[in-house]
Amino acid sequence: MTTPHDEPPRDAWLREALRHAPDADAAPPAELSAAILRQARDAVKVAARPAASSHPLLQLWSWLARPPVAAGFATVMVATLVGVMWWDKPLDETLPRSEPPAATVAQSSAPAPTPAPAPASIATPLAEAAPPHAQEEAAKATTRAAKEAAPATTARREDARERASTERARSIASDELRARSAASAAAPPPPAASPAPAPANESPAKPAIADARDDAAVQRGAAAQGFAKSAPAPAPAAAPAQRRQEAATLTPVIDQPERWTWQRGGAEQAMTPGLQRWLVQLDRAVRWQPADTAPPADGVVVLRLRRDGTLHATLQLGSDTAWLTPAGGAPVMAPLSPATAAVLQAALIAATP
Amino acid sequence: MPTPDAPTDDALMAAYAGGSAAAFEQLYARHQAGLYRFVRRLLGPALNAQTDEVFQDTWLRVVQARARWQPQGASFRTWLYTLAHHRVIDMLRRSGRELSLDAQADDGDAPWEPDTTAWQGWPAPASAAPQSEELAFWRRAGEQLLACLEQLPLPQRSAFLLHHDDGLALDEVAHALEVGFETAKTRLRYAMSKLRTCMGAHLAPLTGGGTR
Repeated sequence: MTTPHDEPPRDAWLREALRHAPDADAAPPAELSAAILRQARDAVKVAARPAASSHPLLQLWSWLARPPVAAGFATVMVATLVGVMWWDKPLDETLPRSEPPAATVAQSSAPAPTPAPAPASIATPLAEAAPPHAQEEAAKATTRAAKEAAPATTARREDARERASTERARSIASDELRARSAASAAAPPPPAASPAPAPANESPAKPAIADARDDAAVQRGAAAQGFAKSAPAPAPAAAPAQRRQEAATLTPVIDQPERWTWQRGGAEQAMTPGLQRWLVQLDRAVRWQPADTAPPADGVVVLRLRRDGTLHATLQLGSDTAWLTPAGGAPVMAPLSPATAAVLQAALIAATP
Repeated sequence: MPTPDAPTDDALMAAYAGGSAAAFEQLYARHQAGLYRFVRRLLGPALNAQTDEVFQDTWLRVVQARARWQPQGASFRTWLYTLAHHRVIDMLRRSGRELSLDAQADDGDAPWEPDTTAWQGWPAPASAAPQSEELAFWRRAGEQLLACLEQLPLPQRSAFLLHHDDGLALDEVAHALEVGFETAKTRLRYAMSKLRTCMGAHLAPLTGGGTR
């Protein structure tokens, strides 16, 4: 700091001359002063405006408007939307069915069967006897299933859960059958199916989904050959058609359990997951063929399957044979080993108390 | 000048930085005349038309720098004149005028000695009610002083104006011009010596005027 001693004195004459200079009273123009003051006020207002938004909603909005926050929020929203869309997607209708690993093992150990298109010329009696409206009804059922997958989210989720439960039941039954087949590995693998003639009379209007299900049913039958190999092998050329017949009869029961009821001696009862699992078990264990003998009146367990209250098929399980008689159609049968028949009977009785 | 009860410049600037537009208006009212005169005299008659632009630009710098301003080391007034001095230098450079910021370069090392002989025939400067003849003399003296200021280098001119016209202490002058105290003191002495010589050579003493 300067001291009075260091401070040089101001020259009074020069100061007086400055005081009387022509520009001594110079001042900024009023317009200039007004402009400066206005800019100063505006700067304070602009700075104070964000601070004035003390309302919580305004503060939240200004926080959300920040680019990093907005980008993060948008990312979360997109991820949630994709997740919900994936959750609602009916996977079993859009994705091809994958076979269990056991089927691959069984196929690789046995001679590879030649892919055989469905021969309509050797259709089973049941398929031939089935009225034309049966195929139409199957197509309608598939269409209905597709339509039912579209409505409300809750219904779709329940449907997806039921299907997942069915898939789990199938997997469990397959594991059981594989275990049993490993225990009874005595007979050689069945011969491979010979190439079948090209389809001639098959309806071109048959839904593709039904085809996929039929092919899957055929492959499942091949996977279950280890369990059924103790039984007499059916005619190779007739097997695919029989598998189609069986699939056309039993697959709707698995896919649309809400429409089905069952009856075993007593009153009519709703379809249960236990009976569904048993049907899957039966599906894996048998190879249907045209029935050459009528089902006996005694000594068999009779299970009637009704769809929408109407009798659809009658299943009879004897000590060494299973019969399936569609309503209004010719019966088919499947030879069973006594052990398999006993296991199936016990499981059926347990599933239909 | 503010009254003893009035808030200081630093307090007003702090209030303006906090959002008070009224504080800025008080600051502006206090310093607008002195700053305008300082800018006008530094620029000189040749650049008189740019006085408004430099003056406005200086105040806008104050507005823009309000949040960064800290009353440390220098008062608001010192800082204000520093901003104005920078703007004047920018304007002089833009106008193409040659600037010599080293004021001592051409002045040699001759020490400054107070010379009062030039004023012996002049009237007393502090007369409360000057006669019309005296008033005319001082008006001529003022005109002559402005002409003499034009001949001073910018550093000496700014030091003299800040010290004699705006009333800054010498250390404040040094702060405002961003030079050392001794440098400011030297500039001021050279400026006063030149001005006295210039004024004594061109302004005839008042006939029958008072003495110091």
